[in-house]
Amino acid sequence: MTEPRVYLVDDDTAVLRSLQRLLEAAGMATTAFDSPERFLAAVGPSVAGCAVLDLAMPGLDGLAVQEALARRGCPLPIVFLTGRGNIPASVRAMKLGAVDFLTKPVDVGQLLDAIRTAFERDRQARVERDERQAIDARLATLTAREREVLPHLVAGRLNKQIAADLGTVEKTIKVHRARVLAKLSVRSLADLARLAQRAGIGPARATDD
Amino acid sequence: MSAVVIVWAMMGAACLTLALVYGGIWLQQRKEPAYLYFALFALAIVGFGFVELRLMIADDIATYARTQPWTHLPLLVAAVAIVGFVWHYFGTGRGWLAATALGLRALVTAVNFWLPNGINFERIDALVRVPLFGELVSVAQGTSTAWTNLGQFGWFVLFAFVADAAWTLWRRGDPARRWRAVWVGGSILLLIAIGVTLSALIHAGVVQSPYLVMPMFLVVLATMGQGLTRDVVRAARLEREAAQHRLELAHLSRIGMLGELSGSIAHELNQPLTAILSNAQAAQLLLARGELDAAPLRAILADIVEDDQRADAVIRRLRAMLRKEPLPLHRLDINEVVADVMRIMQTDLANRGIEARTELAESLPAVEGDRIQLQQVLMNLLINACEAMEDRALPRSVRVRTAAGDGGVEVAVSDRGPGIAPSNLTRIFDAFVTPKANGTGLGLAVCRTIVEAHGGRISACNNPEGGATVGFTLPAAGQVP
Repeated sequence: MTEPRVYLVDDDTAVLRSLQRLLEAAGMATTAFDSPERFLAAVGPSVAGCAVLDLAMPGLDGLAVQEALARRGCPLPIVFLTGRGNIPASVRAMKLGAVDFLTKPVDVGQLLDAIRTAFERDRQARVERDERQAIDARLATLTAREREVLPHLVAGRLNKQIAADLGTVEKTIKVHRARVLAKLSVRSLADLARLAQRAGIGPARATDD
Repeated sequence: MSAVVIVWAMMGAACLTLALVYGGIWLQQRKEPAYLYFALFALAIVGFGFVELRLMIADDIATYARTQPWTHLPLLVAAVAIVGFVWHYFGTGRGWLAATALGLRALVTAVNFWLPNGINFERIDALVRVPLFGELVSVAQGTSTAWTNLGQFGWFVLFAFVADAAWTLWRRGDPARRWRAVWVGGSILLLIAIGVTLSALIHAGVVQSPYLVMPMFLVVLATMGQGLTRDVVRAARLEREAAQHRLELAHLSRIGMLGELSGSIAHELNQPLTAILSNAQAAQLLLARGELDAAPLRAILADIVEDDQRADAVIRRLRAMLRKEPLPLHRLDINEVVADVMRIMQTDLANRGIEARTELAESLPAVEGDRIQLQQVLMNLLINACEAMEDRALPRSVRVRTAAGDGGVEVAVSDRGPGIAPSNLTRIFDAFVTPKANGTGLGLAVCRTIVEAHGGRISACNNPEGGATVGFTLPAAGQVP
C-alpha cells in the first residue's frame, strides 16, 4: 500500500510554503499546489492520504474542488482551512464529507489531528474498497448455476429444498455447494453469509414455504 | 484746502473704493445682484457728494443755480440702486410700488433738467453762509417750485416700498432675515425720512443748512455693506460646515465599507498570520527533533519576517482608510491605484463569483491625489457593480478600464447588471438616492465628493450591450484647478 500523503492547496504561496514546512517537520509526506486547477490535474483515483484545501481561492474555491474530486471518483478526504468562520460553507463542506473545517491561523496540533483522522478514514475506505474488490473477483469465478444457488445457500436452506426449487436433484446441489464454498474460500455457511452480505447478495426467499 | 473739501473727498474716495470692491465681486460671481446695486449706490453717493461739494463752495448765485439741477441725476441712480438692492437682498417688495417710486423719480429728474433753474428753486434770492466744520459754506434761499412736492411724494412712495419689503421680510420670521429687515431696511427708511424732512425744511427756509446727503448716504451704505459682509461670512461658515459634514460622511461610508470588506480584510490579515504561526511551529518541531541545521531555520525566520511585514502593510492600509483628516496629495499612477484595489478586492470578487478584467492603458499621465481616497472611490464602484450583478446568472464579469483623455485620465467600471433606470442616471450621485433596498445612498455621493475634490468629474451611463458603466476623470498632475 502506498504511503499516505498530504496534498496541500493554497493560492497564497507564503502560507503554502509555511504549511508544507510545518507538515514535513511533523514527518508527513506533503505535496503543495498553488492553484486548485494544478492540484486537480495532478491527482487520480489511486492517490492515498488527504487534501488540505484553502476554502477561498480565486478561480475554483475549496468547495468546487471538493465537488470536482467527488465527480472524478477520487475519494480523497478533505480538511478545509478558511480565513473566516463561514457557517453555510462549512455545513455544505461537512455534508459533502469533509473531515474537518479549521480556521486560519491554524494550530499545528489541530491540523495534525485532522490530518491523522483523514488518513485513517482514507485507510479504512481503502481497505473496504480492496476487500470489496477481492470479493467481486472471487464472485466472478462462479458459474451461472453456482451464482443461482448462492442466495439459497445464504438463506440456509437444505439441498433437498434448493433442488426442488431449481428443478434438479439433491446430489447436483451438493456438488454446487461444495464448489461455491471452495471458490469463495469460505469454510462455513456463516462465513459465506457474511461475504454475501458485503457483496450485497441477500438470501433467496423460498417458493414453497 | 478747506476741511469740507477734504472730508467730502475722503467720503467720496471711501465710496469709490467700496463701489470698486463690490462691483468687482459681482463681476466675478454674477450671482448676487445685491452686490451690483450696492456698488451702484456707492457710485451715486460719489456723484452726489461731488455736486453737493460744488454747491457748498459756490461763491455766487449763478454758479449755485447752474449746479443745483445736477443733484437729481445721482439721486435717480441712488433710488434705482436702493430699489434694486432691497428687491434682491430682501427678496421681497411690491413691484408696483417700486415702479411708481422710480417712475416719479425719473419724471422729476426729467422736469428738473427741462426747467431753467431745476425743480428746487424757481428763483434763488440769496446765498447765505452757514458754518460747517469751522468754515462757512453756501446755502441758497429762494422760492421752490411745485415740482418739489412731487419729488417729495416720490421719496414717500420709495419709503413705502422699502417699509413694505422690510415688513414682509420680518414676517418670514427667521432671525437672519429679521436682522436684515430691521438693520438694513431700518437704516434706509431712516435716511429717506431724515433726507426728505431736512430738504423740505431747507426749502421752506426753516432750517439753514447744506443738504448733507452724502454723510447720511454713507451711513446707509455702511449698514448695507455690513449686511452683505455678514452674509459672506455666514456663507463661508456654512460652506465650512458642509465640508466638515462631507468629511464625516466620507468617514462614515468608509466605516460602512469596512464592514462590507471585513471578510476580505480578515482573510488578508489571516494569511500572513497563518504563515507566521506555521513557520514558527515548524521551527519548534525541527528543534524538538534535534535538527539544528542552520539553513532551514534561517529560511523559516526570513519568511516570518516577510510575513510580519505583510501583516503590517495590511494594518497600515486599514488605518489609512479609517483616518479622518484629509491626506496630503501625491503624484500617483492611476494604474497602480487600480491594481491595489483589484488586489484588495480579489477575494471578495472571487467569493461573489465575479470575473474581473482590467484594461489599463500604458503611459498615462500622473494624477495628483490621495491614494486611499481614490482607492475608496474605485472600491465603491466595484462593490456597486458586484451588487448590481448579484441576481444575475453566471458568468458575471466586471471590467475596469483606464484611458487617457480630457487632459487627464479616465477610469471606468463596467458591469453586466440590469443597468441604471434612465430617471436615476443623473441623480444617483446625490446623497440618499439609491435603487438598492438596503443601500444608504451615500456611497456614490461620497465618490462624487472625492472625485470633485480632486478636480475631476464622475458620471454614469448604460452600456449598449447591457449593464452600466460608472466612470470618473481626473486631471493630469499640475492641472488641478
